[in-house]
Amino acid sequence: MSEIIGASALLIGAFFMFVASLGLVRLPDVYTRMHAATKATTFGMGGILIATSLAFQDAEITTQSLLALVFLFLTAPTSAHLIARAAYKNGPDLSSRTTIDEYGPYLQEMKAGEADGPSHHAGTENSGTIPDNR
Amino acid sequence: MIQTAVQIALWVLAFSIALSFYRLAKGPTVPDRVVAADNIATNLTGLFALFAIQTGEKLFIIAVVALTILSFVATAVYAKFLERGKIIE
Amino acid sequence: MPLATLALSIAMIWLLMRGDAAPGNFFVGLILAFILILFLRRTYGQERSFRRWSDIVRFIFYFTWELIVANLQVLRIVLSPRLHIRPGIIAFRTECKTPLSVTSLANSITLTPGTLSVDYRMTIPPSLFTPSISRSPIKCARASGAAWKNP
Repeated sequence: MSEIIGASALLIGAFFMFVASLGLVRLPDVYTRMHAATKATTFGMGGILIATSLAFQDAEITTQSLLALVFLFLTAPTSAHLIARAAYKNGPDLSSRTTIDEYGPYLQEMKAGEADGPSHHAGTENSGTIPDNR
Repeated sequence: MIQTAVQIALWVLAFSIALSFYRLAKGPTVPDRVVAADNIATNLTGLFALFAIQTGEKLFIIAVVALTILSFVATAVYAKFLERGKIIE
Repeated sequence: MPLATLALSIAMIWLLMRGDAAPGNFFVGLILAFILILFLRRTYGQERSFRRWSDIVRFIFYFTWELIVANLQVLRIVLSPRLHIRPGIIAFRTECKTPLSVTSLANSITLTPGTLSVDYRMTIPPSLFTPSISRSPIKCARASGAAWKNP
């Protein structure tokens, strides 16, 4: 029984990894591609790691694959977020299908704010942390 | 039965990596290539997990954990480089 | 999470990685945890994260369901012969006030249907920028602001 569940989890996982790559090829711009890649690869790896823990039937392997899964769920959205912001600041390159963009005006506003006076909040330069002056 | 599933999954992941390589080679912008490289890294961790099932070798699972963390660090550093043009400030 | 709990959980993670619950391994984990905390103490803010454990459990179930829905949606979009997408970037106002809750919200937004978080603005209330793959999730994201009020 567990073998059937393991095999189907494995196949579903691999299929979603494939869907992620297909989305990477088919979708029109970086943000939508990232959208497909992040969600589907995370889900796919979830399936594959569940299959490994079912295939080994071993406490050590189960905890280690759970650990890998938790790391993946924490890191995949974070790296997508970092790349998305870097991509927008590097030149938006939005696809022609884009209907609405509220991020560009915000960046303009930020730039105007910085040009007005010396930046008195150095904390905002630090991308990884959230500034204290909230 | 699970070995057959592993064989099929290996082929599927191989095709998936090939598609990602297409985006890596063609990708009009640099962030496209970074996303493709990140996707290839995740697919590689999937391959490691599949090898672990196929060979019964437990060490591959540790490799999965390490590779997950490593691919995140690589992508984060690349994003930082894209945003500021330098890595260590 | 107080620092002692953090040190203990880092030691636990070390034990899980080693896969061998010997006392020696646990002490090595504790020493590693103290070294890590010594270096990273300044970037680590102490705050109360969750009020009740039942909230975490409910969140995990909700999140798993949304993850499955999100993947079926990606499947439908990618495999349909013509792309029916109208992506956009919207500013989305949240009620989350602490850094940890904003971070977890941003991460969950990326993994739940139709959206991906781009940037945050840490004013009160903070807003997250989320490109949506079609316009209907925009309404969904705005509506979920209410659902996210008390995570």
